[in-house]
Amino acid sequence: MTYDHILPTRLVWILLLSAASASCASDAGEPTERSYAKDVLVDTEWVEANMENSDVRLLEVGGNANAFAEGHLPGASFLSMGRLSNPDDPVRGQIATAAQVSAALSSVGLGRDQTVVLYDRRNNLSAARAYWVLKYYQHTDVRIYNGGTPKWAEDGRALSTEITEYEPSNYRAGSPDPEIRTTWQYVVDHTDDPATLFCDTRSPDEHLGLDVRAERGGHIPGSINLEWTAAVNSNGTFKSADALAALYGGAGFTPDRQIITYCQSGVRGAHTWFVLSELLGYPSVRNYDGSWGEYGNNPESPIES
Amino acid sequence: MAPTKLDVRGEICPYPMMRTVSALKKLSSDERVLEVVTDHAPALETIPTQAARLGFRTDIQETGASEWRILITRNEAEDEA
Repeated sequence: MTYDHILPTRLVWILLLSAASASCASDAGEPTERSYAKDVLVDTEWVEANMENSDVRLLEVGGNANAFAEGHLPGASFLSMGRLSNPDDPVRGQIATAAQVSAALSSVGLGRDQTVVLYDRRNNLSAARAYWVLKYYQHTDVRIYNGGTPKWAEDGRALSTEITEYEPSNYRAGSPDPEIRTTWQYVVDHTDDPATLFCDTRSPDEHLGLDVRAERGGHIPGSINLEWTAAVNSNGTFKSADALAALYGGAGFTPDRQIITYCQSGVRGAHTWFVLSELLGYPSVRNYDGSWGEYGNNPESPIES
Repeated sequence: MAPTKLDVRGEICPYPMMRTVSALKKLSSDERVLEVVTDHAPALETIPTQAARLGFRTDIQETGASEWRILITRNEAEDEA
């Protein structure tokens, strides 16, 4: 093992601390000037105002059916994250096919023209992954309820145990958007591309190859480690646009470059994809769905550790 | 002794592995087996890897469509140590 990576990793942590300070200032009530690039986050008041809106559907993702039955946002439906992955793909956890996504969304009675509001129970992680899946299949209007059930409770709202039934629909997923997802070959072809930057959203130990979850440990050459949790406030909501811009810009992720996010199975990578593409408005961001589960198991992958 | 059970259905990467590691570390010395139920396929690779690091072996059983039971058993060498 070489230790050439230590300096950049420390540098990122210094930047993280700087950004955390900026976030604290924001949390303390100072006004923020920047707004999110896209209008894709909704808050408690927005959800309440749209409870009776038939054009809006609430979908709980993450957690499980038992937890959903014990309490959920009123009017919401539950969709298992497993329905959005492809059990037949040799790389575990890969995005579901268009047919599988169509079947999953039909089962909860969703229409292509409806606004989908996704939420989960922890850090918007499942919601961001589900958002990425729906955008990949070009559902037009997808939002995330920022903070999910913990935020709903924090804001003093009651969870419901009443199950709202929806008639199954005939949802048809759109064609895949290749601009937001990438493959092993594309990754390997761009490891020496100066216009491309890899964002390793895993933990520092995974990045350094100290926590190995595939045949080999380490990271994609040249990638910068910025763990996905850095984008999240202590209550599970996304940090402010100002804080996120300072965090990612300070770490070297600038909008003039193509950024490829990755993790172990494309979930944490999707969370950071959401931050960069949707909240900060970076024009070229792709999530490497295969991530380390594929890359680290392929003996032909160039690896740094 | 019946195995300790951990249901992480609905949890996605990295939480199934993280919760499993936490549960393994909390097992008492006379507890040999942790039974984990998951519906997140990537956990079938990450959980065995981490369990092995902690001195456990794993046996994966498919219990339904995209749902698995992972029996995580303390290695004999660990028992003797």
